[in-house]
Amino acid sequence: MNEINTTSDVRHTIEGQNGEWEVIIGLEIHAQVTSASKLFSGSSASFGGAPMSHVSLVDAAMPGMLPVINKHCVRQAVKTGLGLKAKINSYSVFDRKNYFYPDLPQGYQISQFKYPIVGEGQVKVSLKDGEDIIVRIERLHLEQDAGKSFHDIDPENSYIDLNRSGVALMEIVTMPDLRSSEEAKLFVTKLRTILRYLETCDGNMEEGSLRADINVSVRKPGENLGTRCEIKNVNSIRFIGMAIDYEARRQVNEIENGRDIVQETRLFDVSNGETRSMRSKEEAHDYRYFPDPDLLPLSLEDDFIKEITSELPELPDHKKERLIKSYGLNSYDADILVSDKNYAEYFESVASGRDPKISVNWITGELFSALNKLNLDIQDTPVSSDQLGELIDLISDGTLSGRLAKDVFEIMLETRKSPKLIVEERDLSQITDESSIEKIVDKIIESNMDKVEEAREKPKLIGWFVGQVMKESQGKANPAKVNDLVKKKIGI
Amino acid sequence: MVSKINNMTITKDTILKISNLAKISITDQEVEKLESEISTIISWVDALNEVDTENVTPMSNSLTNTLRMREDLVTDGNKVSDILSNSPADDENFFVVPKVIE
Amino acid sequence: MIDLVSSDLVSIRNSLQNKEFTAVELLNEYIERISKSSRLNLFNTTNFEDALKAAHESDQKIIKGEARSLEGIPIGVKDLFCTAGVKTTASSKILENFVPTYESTITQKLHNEGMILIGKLSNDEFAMGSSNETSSSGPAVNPWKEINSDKELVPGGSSGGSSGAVAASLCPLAIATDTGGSIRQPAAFTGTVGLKPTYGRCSRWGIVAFASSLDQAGPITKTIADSALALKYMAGYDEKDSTSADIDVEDYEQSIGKSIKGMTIGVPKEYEELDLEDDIKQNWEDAINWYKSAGARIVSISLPHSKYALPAYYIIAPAEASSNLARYDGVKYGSRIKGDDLDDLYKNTRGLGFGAEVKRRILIGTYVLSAGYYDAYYLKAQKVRRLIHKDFVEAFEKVDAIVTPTTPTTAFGIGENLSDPLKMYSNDILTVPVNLAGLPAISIPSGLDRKGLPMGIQIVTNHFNEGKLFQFGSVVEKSRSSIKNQSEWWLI
Ligand SMILES: [Mg+2]
Ligand SMILES: [Zn+2]
Repeated sequence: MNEINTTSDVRHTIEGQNGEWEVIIGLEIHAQVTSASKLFSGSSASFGGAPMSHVSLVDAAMPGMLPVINKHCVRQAVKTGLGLKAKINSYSVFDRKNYFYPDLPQGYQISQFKYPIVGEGQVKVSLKDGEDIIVRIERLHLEQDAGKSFHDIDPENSYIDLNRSGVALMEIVTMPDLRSSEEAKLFVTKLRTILRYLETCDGNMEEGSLRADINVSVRKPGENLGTRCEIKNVNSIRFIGMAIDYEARRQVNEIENGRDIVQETRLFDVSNGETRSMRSKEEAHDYRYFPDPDLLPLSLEDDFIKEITSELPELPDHKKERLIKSYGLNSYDADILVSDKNYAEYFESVASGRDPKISVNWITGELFSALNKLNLDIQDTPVSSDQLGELIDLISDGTLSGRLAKDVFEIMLETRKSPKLIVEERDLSQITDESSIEKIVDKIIESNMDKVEEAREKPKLIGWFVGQVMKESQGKANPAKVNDLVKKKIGI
Repeated sequence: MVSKINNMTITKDTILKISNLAKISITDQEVEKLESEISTIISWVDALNEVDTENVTPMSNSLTNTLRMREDLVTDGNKVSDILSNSPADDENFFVVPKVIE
Repeated sequence: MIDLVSSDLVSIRNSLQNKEFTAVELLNEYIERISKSSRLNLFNTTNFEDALKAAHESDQKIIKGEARSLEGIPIGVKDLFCTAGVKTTASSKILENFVPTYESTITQKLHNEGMILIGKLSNDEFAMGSSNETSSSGPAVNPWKEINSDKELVPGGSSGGSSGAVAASLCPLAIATDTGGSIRQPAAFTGTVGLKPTYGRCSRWGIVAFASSLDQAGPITKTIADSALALKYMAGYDEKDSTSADIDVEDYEQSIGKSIKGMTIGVPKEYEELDLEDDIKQNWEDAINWYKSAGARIVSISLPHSKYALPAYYIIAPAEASSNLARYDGVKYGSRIKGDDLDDLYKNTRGLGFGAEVKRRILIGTYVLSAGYYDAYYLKAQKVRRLIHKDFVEAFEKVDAIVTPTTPTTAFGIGENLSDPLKMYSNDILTVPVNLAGLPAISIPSGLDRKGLPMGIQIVTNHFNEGKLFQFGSVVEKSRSSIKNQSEWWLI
């Protein structure tokens, strides 16, 4: 597979009034760490809850309160770092990022600035055209989430809930290696898949578990980087694409109309798909980072890192390679299966001792479209992998025709019963016995003698006879055998 | 011995800039007084420039051990009344502040 | 009548346990004496009603033979320790009505031994000061006066309320904090024993933070034995404070009076160059002679970077404070002063809620951390801190203790140093290096100067060697001449 040099090759451009423009994109992803309690306090990190119910004295920054770090969150960050093939820093430091905002009760966010827990890494992203790009990760650090401000409860006031205050986040920063909204979306999708494999972040964007700050700039191909704007807090993959497309176009228009790009923070407006300058962030920030004196440096022992390394699951890239190698799948099917580790797991269970190609077709075809219609995750599938396997076995041993199998599958979805049971109960097994089929064929020919002559001239009519026979047998006759017999009897 | 002078003068603008960063309103008289006091203090601490600190690692805490970690257990929360008991303005268990425009 | 003036903590404990008087009788005596001492302005809040209830309970326990180690003994607490249900103001307008729902670890530990909170003691606002003149409740007054003078003197700071209350026999024990000398300097000014334990020895949880890497709680008492007794119950590991040391607590009382024969005392030669009052210089020489007589070996040591401790401290402490005090923003607790918008609310609340000294330090701290100045000031100071620490580490390879005066002068008049910050700061020139290095130190009353004012000798030992402080301190306590305050001029 080809790997493109991410930084220098021009992979994608957009058309301006007078020429091509390259879009340069870097992302800062905030991924909520999957943990029971918060990063520095013992209150619950779970989503939702009545206002202020997941808040401790520490989260509300009461006088004299002190942070104590959650070991599991540290493990999660290390695990994620390993999953991003990144350098784990055995020495890291927590800093305070100082600014005033009502949902930031301490007046500072505890974050990591100079010495993050994870250094440089990389993520391989498969593009639609089959090529792979490597997106470099600059760093990953741990930090606290802020509370939530509500501006629409009251006309005069903003309302503040601190339930999220102090929840652990991983900020994952990429190098400016992305060149289109499509690439950015694929990257975030891939990153989310990796996080879900690792079980370090649930990737639930509706609940805000994954948010992106997007840095966008444009340049003439081959020229130096332009001034960038940062679009804050975009919380869906589709919006990420829309925000980039809008912002890139806006910047091209500005430049082509002789205006300079001002480095600023912008907000993506979901209602009109536009980005706009954030008034509240206009004044230049001076965060006055310094090491948090309440927290000593974080030091990770080799054994701690080794232990986490040994617990790493098989990650999508490896899984894909293995699926291709051991099951002979094509890259396209393998990509679909590894995009969710539950898909791959389901597949491997079905394909165990069965034809992989038939297995993958059933999964990506019938099963996925059914799940899609029912709006269900594969974890909640009404048809277990064992049941689907059984169904495929019934096809292979000739009990069911492809068509019958599809009918049985529909019944399985509704009843959650095993295919064998359904076949038994409804007497659905295929009629393969030649003499039984012959009886039906004879019956149909006898009552349609007029069409027999016609069929000899127009062999297409054979299909009509086959259909009649199938209908008469309630679909149970083996279609291949019916076909052979009809031809034989009519004399073609 | 390294000896370099910072020579960073505190002006009225400096005072206004940092009081804005620190979100502290100051009166005109205060600005004047602070300008002179802080100038004096800052030029006094410039004495540190006499110290050769090349290859010296900064020390942010005198403790030489490293960070202790706690287990991931939910042991806190569900104390809304404690959280709001000193609040200057709250409603429906939210803190209330003048409208923030983003 | 119980003779409170000549009663110390140890003798009160013994009398209570021998049932010579009841806890209620004792408390009533203190309440009466406190009521007669309002001219000293030492208490921000009194807690008489609750204290009486607690004293009744203590008496029941004593009768039933269930008395705990410090049952029924009243304590005064610096108004920086959060006390559940009792106003905690840090002597600041911004917290004038703040009532914590939680109890600091240190006061909780003392309550667990049966101690009773009698009231909250004044301090410099947010512990920033060396004279207790910046409290929002006005200056605290030293119970000592110069011979033949009516001039009112400062009790030292920031724990002037605490030192004054013990010196005036308004409580046998006061709990205070020391960031740059805030326990030792007021102890020296009032003829009391002030102990700053090793950084990490006592939990900081529930103490309003000033400078987190320097703050440390400790007792102010009349005698060394009292100090050792108090520390025994204050010291210890607290899982809620990440900088709390998990090191066993020694039996400090065992060290009192133990021979120092053959042990080594260091006298820093750089301190001899300092601008010290003549009587203080003389007193220092006397102390060294007492140690010689007790069989110690005296050696000259060098602490070459100590002279930079004060400027380094006045960068580090304000930097940390500027961030620690950001939480006082009028949103979650404390005073709120409205404005046109949120930004105005912040600025008004903080502009009017903080006093002049606090504002100045926040601004200095903001400045030294701000973009462009961080390296020149904050980082430089942290490097100098390392060198100061190293000086001490090297010294303690050769000596068991370092002996110096506690302060360059005795108590000065109220208002005398207020207009000159640098002169005020110079009070802490002998105490500040100890905080930067995180070492334990004690100030022991060592005599009276020619004006009749108390002087203090400071003993410094290696990290977590508090036992030696009491051992060496005993020599001064035994050898000095009487330091009895001749007049109780303030009683009404
Ligand atoms: Mg960011
Ligand atoms: Zn972040």
